[in-house]
Amino acid sequence: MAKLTRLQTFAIVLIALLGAGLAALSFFNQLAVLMMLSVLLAAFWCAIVVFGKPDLHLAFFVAFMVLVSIALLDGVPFGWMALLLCIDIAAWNLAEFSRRARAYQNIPNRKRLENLHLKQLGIPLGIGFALAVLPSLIRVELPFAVLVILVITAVVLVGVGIRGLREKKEKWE
Amino acid sequence: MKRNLFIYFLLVFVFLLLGVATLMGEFVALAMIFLVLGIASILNQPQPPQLGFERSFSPMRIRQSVPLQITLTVTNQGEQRITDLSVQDYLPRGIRVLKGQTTLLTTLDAGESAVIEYTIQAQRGQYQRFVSTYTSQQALDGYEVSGQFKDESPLLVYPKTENLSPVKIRPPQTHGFAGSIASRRGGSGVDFFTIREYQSGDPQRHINWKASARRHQALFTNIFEQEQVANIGIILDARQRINLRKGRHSIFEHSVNAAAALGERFIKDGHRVSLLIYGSGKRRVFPGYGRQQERRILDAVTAVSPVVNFALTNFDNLPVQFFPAKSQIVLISPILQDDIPYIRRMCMRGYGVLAVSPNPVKLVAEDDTESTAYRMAAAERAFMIQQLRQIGAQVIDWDVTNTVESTLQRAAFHLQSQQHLRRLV
Repeated sequence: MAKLTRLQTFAIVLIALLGAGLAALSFFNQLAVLMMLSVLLAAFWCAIVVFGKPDLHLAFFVAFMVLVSIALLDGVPFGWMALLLCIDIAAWNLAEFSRRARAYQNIPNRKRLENLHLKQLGIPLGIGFALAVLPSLIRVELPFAVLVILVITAVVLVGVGIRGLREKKEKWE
Repeated sequence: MKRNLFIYFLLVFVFLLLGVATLMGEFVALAMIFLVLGIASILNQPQPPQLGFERSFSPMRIRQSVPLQITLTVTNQGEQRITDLSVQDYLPRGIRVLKGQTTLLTTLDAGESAVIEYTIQAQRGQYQRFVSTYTSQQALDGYEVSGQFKDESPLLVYPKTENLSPVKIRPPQTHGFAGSIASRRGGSGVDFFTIREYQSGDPQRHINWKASARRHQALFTNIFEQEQVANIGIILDARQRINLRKGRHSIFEHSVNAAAALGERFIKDGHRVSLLIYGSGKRRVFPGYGRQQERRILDAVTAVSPVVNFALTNFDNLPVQFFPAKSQIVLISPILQDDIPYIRRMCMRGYGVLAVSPNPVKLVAEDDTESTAYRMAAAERAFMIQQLRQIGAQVIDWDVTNTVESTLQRAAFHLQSQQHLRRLV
């Protein structure tokens, strides 16, 4: 067995975290089947990442996504599920990258390449996670009157905008 | 666009649908993650990289099975960093990598270079199409940009040749310059040729005292045989129909090696050598001397391969007039029965013909020498060789499991003993 690369190790850690996290949350929510499935899938996926074949990373990613959705439907807290989905995406990406990198023996600046990859993956994933979780945390309470005023203002503004554009179009014609 | 970008947007759609179906905002929120990934992929789309490729190998001409180190330098000539660049160097067929890697995965800053180094070993041939492909892709794997770089710098892999000892040939005519072939003419040389009456100016040490003592009042001088260079034309038979193969052994490869070895030897001996490759076309190397001529001959035999050419299936179109009159022709060919009239014609025109004939019967039969088929084929070939000898050609029947050198030595010894016997009779 070839020595594990840094990103391969990261992928394995993420998969283990994903499996353990989903299993724990399932356990606390008394979802026994989900718990067993998540542990089994994580173990298989880890083995595939270690041995490098077969190329089933997409299938495992989809399987975990389905499990996360089921857990969400069964009332597991959303924040954890969003986090696990992000871990699932990251694990899939790193596993795919490790598989690709395995074909190349000649990687002169491996560390820099891996760091750049992690950076390019981490930033959008972080933003995505924040955008998904923030709306569930922010709670704004508005009086009904203010809401009506806001809606009327929006309707008026849209109306003015449409009229202005129509006049512009007629002048142009 | 790659598969992953499609997956991101498909999942956005799936989660939105799931959110609407279950009336759960959480699914809509999860769709945001994939939406961000999709948008990030589009915004971070890799630009076509401006790459410079430089391949270097030295020397440009090597011998078969001699290792050669190849260095491919890839430089980012653009102003932006290439985050994930993979390069694959494809080698032409016939080249084997001994050491090193032909692939590269790297990240390149502006102006930065990366190097692929590997050692190859190649079969005989002319290689001039090295293709390197590159792919630049992003971490989110939504897009990739690919391209290729073709390198036309030629690499010539000469056939593996033996170091032959001087080959004993008797061309019908020799040139004026001093060389290594006995010219059947008296003059300065090493071997005794004849005696003649002493003439003033003859060196005293050349006086044959024994002969002079037998005659009254007469002196005789030893005359030696002049050694001169000759015109030698090598014909390499590259007709597809005579190129038999047995596993990895090919009659043609043996013929090529023999042509190269003989060419080198004749050039070293100072002869004026020309080459004609007959079969796929009529490639010629005009008569010449020296290192340049040796290189020309090796270049020619390096690039040749047997090809079917229906106009050249027999020696009917053999341009013998290409060789200077009365020169020695060395024909390297397994020879077919149909070829005998054409060889006879060469002999009749005054060329000296030496046929070095790789034996296809032995090559194909290997250990099956007891079968009737083998004995019939061997008898047919022996008869053909006898016919050739009768028309005045020298024939060396070459069992390709032996070296050219040992075969030539044995043939020379056989010829000498035959001449000795003839003298005795």
